[in-house]
Amino acid sequence: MSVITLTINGELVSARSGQSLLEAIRDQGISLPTLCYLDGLSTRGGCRLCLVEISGQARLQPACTTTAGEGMVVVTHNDKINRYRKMILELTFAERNHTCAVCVSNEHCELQTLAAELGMDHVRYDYLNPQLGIDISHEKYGVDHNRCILCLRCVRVCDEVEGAHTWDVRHRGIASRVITDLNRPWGESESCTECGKCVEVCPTGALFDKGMSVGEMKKKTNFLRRILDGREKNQWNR
Amino acid sequence: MAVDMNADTKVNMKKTVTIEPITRIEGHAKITIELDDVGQVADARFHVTEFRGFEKFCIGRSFWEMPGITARVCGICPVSHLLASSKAGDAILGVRTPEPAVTLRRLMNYAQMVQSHALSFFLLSGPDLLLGMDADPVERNMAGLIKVHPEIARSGIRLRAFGQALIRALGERSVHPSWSVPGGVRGSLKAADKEHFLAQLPEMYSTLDIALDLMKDALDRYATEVDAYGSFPSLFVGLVGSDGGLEHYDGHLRIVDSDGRIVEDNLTPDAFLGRISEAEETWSYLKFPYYTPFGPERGMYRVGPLARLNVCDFAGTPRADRELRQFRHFGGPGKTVNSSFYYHYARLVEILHSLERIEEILADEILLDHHIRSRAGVNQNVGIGVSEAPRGTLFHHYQVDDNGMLEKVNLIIATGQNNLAMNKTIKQLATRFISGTKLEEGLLNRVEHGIRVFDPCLSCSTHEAGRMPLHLQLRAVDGTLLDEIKRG
Amino acid sequence: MWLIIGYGNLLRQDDGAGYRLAQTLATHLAPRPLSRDVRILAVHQLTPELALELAAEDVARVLFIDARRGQSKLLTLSKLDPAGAKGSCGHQLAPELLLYMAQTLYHRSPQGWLLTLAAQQMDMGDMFSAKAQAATTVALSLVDKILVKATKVAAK
Ligand code: SF4
Ligand code: SF4
Ligand code: FES
Repeated sequence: MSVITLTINGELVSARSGQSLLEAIRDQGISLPTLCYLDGLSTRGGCRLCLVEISGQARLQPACTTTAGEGMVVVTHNDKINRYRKMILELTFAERNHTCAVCVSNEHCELQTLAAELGMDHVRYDYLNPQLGIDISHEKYGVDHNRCILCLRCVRVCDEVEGAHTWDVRHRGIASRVITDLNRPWGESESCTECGKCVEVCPTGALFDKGMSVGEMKKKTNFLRRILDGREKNQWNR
Repeated sequence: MAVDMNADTKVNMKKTVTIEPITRIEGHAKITIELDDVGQVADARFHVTEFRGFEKFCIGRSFWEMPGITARVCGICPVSHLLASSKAGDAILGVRTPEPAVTLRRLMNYAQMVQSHALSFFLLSGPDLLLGMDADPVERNMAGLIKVHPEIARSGIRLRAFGQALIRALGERSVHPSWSVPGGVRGSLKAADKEHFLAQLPEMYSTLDIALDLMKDALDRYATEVDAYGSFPSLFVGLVGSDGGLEHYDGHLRIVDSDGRIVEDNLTPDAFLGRISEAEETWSYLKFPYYTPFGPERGMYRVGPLARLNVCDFAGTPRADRELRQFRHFGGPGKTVNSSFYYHYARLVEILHSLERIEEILADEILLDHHIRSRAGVNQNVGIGVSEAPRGTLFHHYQVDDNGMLEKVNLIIATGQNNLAMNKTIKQLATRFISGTKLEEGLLNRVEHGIRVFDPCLSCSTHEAGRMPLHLQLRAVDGTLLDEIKRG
Repeated sequence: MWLIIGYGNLLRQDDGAGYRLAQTLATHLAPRPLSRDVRILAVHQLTPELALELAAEDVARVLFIDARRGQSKLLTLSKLDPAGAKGSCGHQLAPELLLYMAQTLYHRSPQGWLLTLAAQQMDMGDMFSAKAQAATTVALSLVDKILVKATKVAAK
């Protein structure tokens, strides 16, 4: 394993070669906000919360999809980046109807937590107020598109880990929706194995166990690492 | 303060008096009194703000979310909505809700009864009852009461805090507890809390003793007026237990007439709703419901504390039964108590009863049982949840698709059901206290109080609206403002 | 000790601005030592038993935060006079009355202020209008400043 050196926030640090910049940064104990990234899933670079400044590059780059390189000079936090991150969160809130006060994930939501951490206390954009529904046709789970942030963790975990590929995205941009089985109601999906992985990895209250009431949905994503370590490294420790 | 209402009036010109809104009542309310051309009261109306936009907000959501949402809408009786909503959910699941969960829900409902009635009696109506209806409005208010009777205000606050703390101990938060859910409840009561509340009960009982004495004094003082405060025959509706006892959580609905005759008994919520009509058609908000077989006039009914005491055979707890016997004297042998003024008294009897029930439940071993939630999917497409809220019978009526998605939502709240009776009360007061062509301050006070006996809750509207000053307008039918009184 | 009470209905858009600001303040102050000198409550409406909170031994100052429609300024901050307690109140009380209660019933006289945030829309929903949001942001830094200043003065 070869080691590289790079500069993060003015400090010279080392990293494994091939490591993502995000991992290299987090290895230094620096906290970097992420939403679409989840340890164990392929990286997507979709939410853009992990944007960092890399010397020599005109635009901010997502750390999760960038490979750490020898001699890179990286800044993880500054006014511009912080402002940018806040703006992304604001847009996320403005695009759908979150209504935290009555959400199943209230107080256990990654989006809500990030907003608090980044000090996002208001939304400067007009709320789009889209008319979105819920699909609770599945026996065990439900999806509320009002709270979906299109991180696509569900799509990835279902495809990459469960191997069912039930989830997909339809339409583009602001009109995007996650769908099950060619846009059939989830309850009629033939591919879904009802394993519940998508629900556990979903960062918001968009996917939930049916029957949950306000603030009751607590998710655990650590199962993922366990499964993968078992599979890849044959470590079946419980 | 007086307003001359007869200056230059033309024959047949109707004049309208508008009082807006009623002070010390939540939400935005408005009263209009219409006079005919000879200065006689033609009609009186109490306008209630609707749950606007609420139905739209809920349709397309799942019924699982409703307890949390409805409890959020109202800051005054969140517990009542929570319970009615989760009971509607129970009905949709169609499974048995575990007995310990039912007991815990009852406990919360009694706590709610205590805190809500305490506010109404000690702090909202207290000023009128204890300082006198003709007292200067500058003094006849909560601040005045606090000054003159600080010990009463303090006890009222303690009683309220007791109820609130019990609700919080059960639901973690008193205001939007999504604690009760379809199929049961989310948590039990801690053993330490049990002791804590039991220890406070003696103080609460003695507060009630004092309050009952004050109430009886007030009844003596207002003996000649009681008849003007909405004293008329009407039907009464409320839940009673399977044994006919006073009930606030379950049981069946009973309709009683003013002669004390049971008109209908053993009604399920479904059957009951099938027997009432609304004078104005809206799916989401029942405006003027009446008992259909008797028509809109005779079919008028009252709900709430007065109605509950009128429909039940007995209270079922010793102290409350003793009071109930005295209460019944005001109606006469075999009859119901008909003056709405007795709502105040009925509230105290209910607080007493609730305290006794709380004591019973806190001592019940069943609270240790941890089977408190049944799980199931949608087994019924329609669910009606009923509970007795402090202000009267509350219905949550949901229709869901096979997945549990809401297709129709209908909340029938107590204030809506008392609407006809409130109008009649105002009319009765106006008729009695409007003398000639003058509008006296005393009338205003009494009209306000006439509404307050029902303790209407309009807080499903914004809280901001609730603090506008009292505004009385005198308008000619063509809209010209003849005079107005503002009271801050 | 400061007591901060933000109130309103979170499902009534701007009506909930005071409540929301109280919540935001709580997260905002939590990591700072300042938070030891502040108690924050977010409530649906002002109710009489809050007088007990005001009357708590360690409370010296109370800040009420409310949303108000029809105010042209983004914020108004005013000192409350318990003597100005009016009787007209619904199940919802006036902040002055709570001060008056603390004084008359419990012989405690914390000083009180009312901060009102400009509100515009109060329909069902939890989205704030641009105006209410702007007011909330300005209010946040204002309250922060007030608290910082007050603790500095106290430290001297
Ligand atoms: S439950 Fe499992 S199989 Fe079904 S959609 Fe979710 S991840 Fe895919
Ligand atoms: S449903 Fe959840 S996991 Fe899937 S895209 Fe939306 S927010 Fe992400
Ligand atoms: S976490 Fe890197 S783009 Fe989403």
